[in-house]
Amino acid sequence: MKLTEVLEITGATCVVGEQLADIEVHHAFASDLMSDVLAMSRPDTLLITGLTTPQIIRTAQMLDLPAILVVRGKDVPQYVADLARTTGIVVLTTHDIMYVASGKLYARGLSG
Amino acid sequence: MSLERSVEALRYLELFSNLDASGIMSTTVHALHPEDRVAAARILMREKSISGVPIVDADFRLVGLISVSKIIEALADGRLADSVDSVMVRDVISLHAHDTFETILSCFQRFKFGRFPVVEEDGKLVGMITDTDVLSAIIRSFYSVYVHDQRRTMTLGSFSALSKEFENSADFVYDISCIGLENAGEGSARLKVFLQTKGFGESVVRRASVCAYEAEMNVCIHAGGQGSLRAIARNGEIIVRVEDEGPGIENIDLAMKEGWSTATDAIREMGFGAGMGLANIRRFSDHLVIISGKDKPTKLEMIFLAGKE
Amino acid sequence: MTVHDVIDSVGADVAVDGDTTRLVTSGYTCDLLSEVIAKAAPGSAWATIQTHVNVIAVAAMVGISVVIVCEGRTCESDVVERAAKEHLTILYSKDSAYVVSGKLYVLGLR
Ligand SMILES: Nc1ncnc2c1ncn2[C@@H]1O[C@H](COP(=O)(O)OP(=O)(O)OP(=O)(O)O)[C@@H](O)[C@H]1O
Ligand SMILES: [Mg+2]
Repeated sequence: MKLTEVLEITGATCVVGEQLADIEVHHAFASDLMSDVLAMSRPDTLLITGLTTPQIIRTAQMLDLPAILVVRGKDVPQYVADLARTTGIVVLTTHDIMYVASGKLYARGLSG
Repeated sequence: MSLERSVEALRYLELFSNLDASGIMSTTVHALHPEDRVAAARILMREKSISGVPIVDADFRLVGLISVSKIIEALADGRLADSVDSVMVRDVISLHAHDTFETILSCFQRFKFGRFPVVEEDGKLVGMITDTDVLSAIIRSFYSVYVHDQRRTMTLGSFSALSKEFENSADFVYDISCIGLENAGEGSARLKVFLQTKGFGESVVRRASVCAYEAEMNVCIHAGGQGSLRAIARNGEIIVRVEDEGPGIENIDLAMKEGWSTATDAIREMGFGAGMGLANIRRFSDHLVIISGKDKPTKLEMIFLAGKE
Repeated sequence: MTVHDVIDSVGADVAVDGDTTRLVTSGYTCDLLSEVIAKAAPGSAWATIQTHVNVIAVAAMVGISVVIVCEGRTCESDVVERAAKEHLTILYSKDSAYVVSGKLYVLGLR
């Protein structure tokens, strides 16, 4: 699924990486615990999380994840956005809660 | 054996739960066909110093086994020129390629033979397991996860399982110094870039970075944020060493257990403290040494083999 | 839908058999306990990978109808006992929280 579709399905906006919106992800993973995310080793995965700490960027960076969808409309602090920019990770944010964002994407065919 | 001891033994069996027959067996197998002469089996045993020869049909399916004692019997009866078929054991106790470590052990205990052929579903012979094979598999897996805390010190003294290389120099050095969690993970991020420029493949770099990150986060969360992250990366091998200044881990076995954590609620709200970090490190590294103890520094050394993908 | 319907539809194992006739009116997926306290609605099906004993306290406080522990994780016996005392149903699913959420959402739980 293209990130542009993720934007459209979840009504998200792009915080970092507009130019990369045609990147594709093949899976999604929803978690707020970074070690849980790190236990998974599939690079082409969209990380869905409720956190906005620099560690979400680091975690994505370690795993070569292309993009993060921040849920619950949380503001991404400037320094976290900057870190995402320098590491080349796309950050999207939606007002949906994790359950709803996951449900919508799953329903539209993005597998786990 | 007291009940307590056997419970402990069972717990250790778990350590080997990743080993199955196919991982333990030797795959260089010397076999004969039923129509071969008994004398050929005798020569094979002597030359290869093996104590039993599996007998297979034209499709390599196991049909029998000839052991030293059968050869001795045949010698006594003057039947060395007869075909193997006439002296071999036909109902051979064999193992399946996917049999667990526990099954293998109980097979050795029940049947008291020194060796067992390993077959696949279709009955084809794929390997042999001797007691030496089992022993060396145990030793290998002990090396892949080695923990050293106070209890070990009592028996092993100051024996060190850490690489000597770091005593002189390292290819990559990062001083961990983190107050709060803001810049936690920076060292691992730099290590990742360093490994990429060294030309290591994507997947070994990912494994090494993930483990370095887990270890670095542990220093920041559990050990006051002061420590070092170093790496040696040569000859298709990445060695990562993460050290801190304490307070140390009192019981490493417990700390390695998935889900076990001493993290505070505040840490959990920041996305850590699931108790999965060390379990991840163990899963993604090829060799792991952890040395720690109560009020001691923690030293963690992980090795990643580029060829092991 | 009821807790019973959730059990049937997500294909999870029942770890603690609480009140399965309870209504489930929404879904909530989250591993941060403070957020669940603040934001989850009573009657939710809560998907998480947390297995901490505090999960039960939070679920009871919020009025969660069923907790779905994901990714094949299991709770320690003290957690199970505590849940049983609260008549809270706990399910173990092999799926990730994403997939569990997806399955419930597709079934119409919004
Ligand atoms: N460097 C260290 N110094 C002191 N204690 C440590 C250190 N590393 C780990 N520990 C102890 O081991 C426990 C388990 O560590 P592990 O990394 O597996 O989980 P965690 O850090 O608690 O949670 P997670 O890694 O999932 O965020 C920790 O809770 C802590 O008690
Ligand atoms: Mg950790």
